[in-house]
Amino acid sequence: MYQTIIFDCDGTLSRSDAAYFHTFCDALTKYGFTAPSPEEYQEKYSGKVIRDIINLYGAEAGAPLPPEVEAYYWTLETPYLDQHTSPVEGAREAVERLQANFATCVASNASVKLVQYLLNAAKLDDKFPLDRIFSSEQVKLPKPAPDVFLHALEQMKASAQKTLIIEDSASGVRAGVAAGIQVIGFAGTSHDVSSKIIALKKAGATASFATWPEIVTYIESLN
Amino acid sequence: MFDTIIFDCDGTLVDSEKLNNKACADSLVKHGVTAYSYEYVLNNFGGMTMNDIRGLVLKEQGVELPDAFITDFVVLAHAYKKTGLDAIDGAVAAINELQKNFKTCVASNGERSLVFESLRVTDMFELFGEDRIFTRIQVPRGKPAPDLFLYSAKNLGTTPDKCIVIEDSPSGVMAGVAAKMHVIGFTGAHHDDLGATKLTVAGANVICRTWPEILHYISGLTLTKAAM
Repeated sequence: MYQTIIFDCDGTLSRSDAAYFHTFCDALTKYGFTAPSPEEYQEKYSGKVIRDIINLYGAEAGAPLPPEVEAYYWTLETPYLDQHTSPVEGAREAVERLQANFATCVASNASVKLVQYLLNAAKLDDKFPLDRIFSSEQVKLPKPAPDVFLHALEQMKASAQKTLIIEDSASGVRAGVAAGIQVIGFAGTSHDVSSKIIALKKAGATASFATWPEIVTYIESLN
Repeated sequence: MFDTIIFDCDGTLVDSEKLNNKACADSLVKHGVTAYSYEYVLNNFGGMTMNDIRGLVLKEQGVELPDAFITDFVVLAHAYKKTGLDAIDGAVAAINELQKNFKTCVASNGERSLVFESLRVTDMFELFGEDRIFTRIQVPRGKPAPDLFLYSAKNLGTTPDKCIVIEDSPSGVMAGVAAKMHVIGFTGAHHDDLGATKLTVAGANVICRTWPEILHYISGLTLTKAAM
C-alpha cells in the first residue's frame, strides 16, 4: 500500500523546455551559428546545463563557441522563462486528486527558489508549501545520484517501499531506482513519446505513460 | 540617473578569491583528488559552488567526494581568512564615499555564512548590514543568471536602469548585463590583461583597475547623465 508520492518538477509538473530551447537558438543565431532543430535539441541537449550545452555544441562544430554567446544567452533566459514556462497538461488535476490519498512532495535538481518559480508558473504553488519542496542544493550530489530522494524520504518520514516517484527524465529515474523507490515514467513532455517511454523503462521505470490521467489510474490500481 | 551601487564580494571587496581557491584545492587533495593544481582551481573553479565542484569531480575523475570535503573546505577557508584576509585596496574608502550619494548592497554567489565572515573580518559587514547582503540561496538561479541583481534592486526599491554593478568575474559581469544594469569590470584583485579581455567580452561597460579609478568613472557617469 503506497502512501507517499514524490514528483519531479520541470518536465513533469511544469515545462520550460521551450524557453531553454528558444534562448539557446536565439543566442546562437545572433552570432551566426546554426540553431538545432527541436528534435535535435531534445536528443542532444535537453536537461543539461547551458555551459555543458555550449561546450558540446562547440565540440561537435569543431571549434569552441565564442564567450559572447553565453553572455547573450543570459540576457534572454529570464524573459523567455517568463514567457514560455507553462503547466503540464493535466498535472494540476492529477496532483489534486492524488493529494486526497497520498502525502506528496517535489524533489528537483533545481534550487528551492527555482522550483517555487516553476510551480508558480504551473499554477501549483498552492499545492506544495516550502516544507514539501526538496532540492539538490540541500544534499551532496544531484540526480542521477539518489541523494535528493533519500533526503525527501527522511523529511517526509516515509519508507522507500511505500513511496512512488514520478519522473520525466532517464537521469531522474536512475536516481529514484538508486534510492530503492519505484519510479513511474512520464513521457508527456517529450517530442517523441514512444522513444521516451522506452528510454524511461530502460532507466528502470516500472511503468511509463504519456498523460497524467493514465498515471492517476495506474497509481489507483496499485493501491 | 543612477541611485544604487551593487558590489560583488569575493575579488571585488575582499581579497578572498585566492584563499577560497587555496582552501578548495587543499580540501580536494585531502580527499585524494590530486588531478587539479591550485592554479587550475583558481582559473577554472572560480565562482562555482561546492556542489558544482563535487559534480564536476564525479564526472571528470569518477570520484564521489564525501560530505567532509565541504566541511573541510569551510574549516580551511575560515582558518585561512583569520590569518590573512584583507579588504581589496581602496574598497572601504570607496564604499564610504559612494554611500554619500548612492544606496549600496552586496550581491554574492557565495555561501551566506562565508560571505558574512569575509565581510566581518575585513570590517565591512557593518557598512552594509545583514539585510543589504544578498546571496545565492535567496534566488532561483545564481550568477550568471541575473536573479541576484534583480532581487537586490527590488529589495532596495529601485530599478535595474538605476543600478551600477561592480564585478570581477566574467560570470558576474554576464549576470549584470543580463539584469540590464551598468556593469563596471574590476581587475584589481590579481587579474592579468587576459582577465580584462574576458570581462569586456562578457559585456562590461568599462574596465577599471583600481577603486579610485572606479570612483572617478562613476562620478563622470553621474555628471554626464545629469547633464543629459
